[in-house]
Amino acid sequence: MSAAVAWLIWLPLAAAVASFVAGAGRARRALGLAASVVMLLPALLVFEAVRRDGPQRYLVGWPAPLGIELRADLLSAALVLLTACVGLLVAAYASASLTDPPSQHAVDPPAAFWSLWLLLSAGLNALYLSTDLFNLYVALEMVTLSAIGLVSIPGTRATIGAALVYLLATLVGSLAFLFGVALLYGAHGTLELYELGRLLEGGPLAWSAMGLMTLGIMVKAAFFPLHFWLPDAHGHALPAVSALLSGLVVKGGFYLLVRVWFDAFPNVLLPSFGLALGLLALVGIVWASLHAVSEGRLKRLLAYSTVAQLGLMLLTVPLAIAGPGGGVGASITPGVEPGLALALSHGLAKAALFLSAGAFIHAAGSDALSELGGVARRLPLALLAFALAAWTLLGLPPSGGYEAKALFEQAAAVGPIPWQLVVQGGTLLTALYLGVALRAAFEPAAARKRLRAVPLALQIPPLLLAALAVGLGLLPLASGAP
Amino acid sequence: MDTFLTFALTGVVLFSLGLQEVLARPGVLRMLIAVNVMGSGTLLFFVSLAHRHADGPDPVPHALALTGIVVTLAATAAGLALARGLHRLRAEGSGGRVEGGRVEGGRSQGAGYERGRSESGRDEQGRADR
Repeated sequence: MSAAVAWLIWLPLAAAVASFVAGAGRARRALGLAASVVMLLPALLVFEAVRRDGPQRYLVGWPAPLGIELRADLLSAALVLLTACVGLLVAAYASASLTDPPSQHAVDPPAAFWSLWLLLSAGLNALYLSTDLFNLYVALEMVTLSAIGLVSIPGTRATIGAALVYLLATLVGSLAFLFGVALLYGAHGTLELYELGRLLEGGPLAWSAMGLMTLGIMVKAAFFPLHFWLPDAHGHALPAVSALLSGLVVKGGFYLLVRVWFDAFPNVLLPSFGLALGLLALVGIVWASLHAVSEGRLKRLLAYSTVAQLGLMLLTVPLAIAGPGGGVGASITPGVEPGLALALSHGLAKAALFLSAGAFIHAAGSDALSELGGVARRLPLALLAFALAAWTLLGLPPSGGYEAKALFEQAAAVGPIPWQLVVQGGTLLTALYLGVALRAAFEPAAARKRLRAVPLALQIPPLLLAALAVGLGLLPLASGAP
Repeated sequence: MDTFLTFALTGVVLFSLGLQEVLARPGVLRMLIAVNVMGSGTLLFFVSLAHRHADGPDPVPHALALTGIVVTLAATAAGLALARGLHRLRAEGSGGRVEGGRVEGGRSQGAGYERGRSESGRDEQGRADR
């Protein structure tokens, strides 16, 4: 069992290095696809073990205290599984789209994609399984550096510029995070999350460490108002890359915030912190949704939607602080089930949206909404994927999004502040901007416009992702907690 | 003032100076250097903590600072490669592409080297994680 957990990290890492040195594009692709398929197995094993027996601890390498401890609870195991599922289907899409010469982006199949994607998945898994603040920092750096590389793949001015802004913003964020880590180490001489959770008391030092780390995470996760780099980065990247970034990478930041706040700082948290975060989330939801509604490009619209949905995820924090608390090291970080359910359904649905957007763009040759006319008729499968994913984001039953909204309303019902109104308002705004996108797809094609044929291999992966997102509602993951 | 405080405060000052410079957005290269100043501040602060161990210096902060240096190095290399790519594209005029070290229609050869560098930096970082 311990082997399965270590696999989650070293397998993609080894495959990333191997695919970097493998010369031929075809060998790289085969290696990347094979690794993405194989990854599903340890992810499922770990998830099953956690679901059956509760949180798992593993010691990797040497015996204690030298070995590295990895820990999987439901929060981490579910996100590891999300990474494996979304990763596999995006890899399937990428293997079709990146080798297809007439597609809009690729002059050459960008070989960098495979190494970087594998590095990204190693980093994400390491992030979800680490129990040590410094390891978390290193894993987060792996994630963001490979994400930046992925954004810059097309090599155009827009993507390199977006990658550079992303890099600078994220560097400042990670140094702020690291400074907070240093403060904690200086005060308590340990970096182990749960140990810190027991030791830390509220006070100027704990608050400044928490402030620095939170700021750093907010930049990295693109929480409003520090999301400024996200729309360009997610909007200009290749569709497959945008799907990885919006589906998986931002979840890493959300996860880290939850982990750090509830595992390292449980005795430091005040309700007012949650309230402040909730208010930021509220403004962010409204602001980003309005931007999405007025956006003229499909992928940027979806990128703004990610910012808005991140705001909704963030609402889980005030709810969890106000709600009944669990002890340190409880079976799941207490009270964050709504956020987790939303992270899972949004991860699947947003990846599906970006991939079907990729198929639309492939057909129309542009991602301007005004150019998308006729794609609904031409690409029924991709359109179905888009519609199903939209169904999930709107939280209509049955779907993963509905499950998440139900959990939100349950949690908000006991608290003093009616956060469920924000969730409902957010849903209304979601309907607005997704409606804008769907209407553009249903417009009749312009008279002289010829849409390019789109292979089925570009339409099936988004459809499967969207089906999974809807299927989440049928097997409620969060409530299966032991 | 004792040694620990001197180093720790220098670290804080360097961090703040770097942060102030980044927030002023003076241009890509200066921002990258400013981020490195911030990084030096953070790592200096880390190293200064080693002093407070009873029997000899505490090795943990040193190990962490080393890892931090590797991470910052990799990120800086990636940033410089991107900045150079951007600079080259601007020089070329508009909308060109950098593919595998060649600018289409251009004469430069260097970007492949840079890209290779930034990726080996990432690998190094992966090793540091193990």
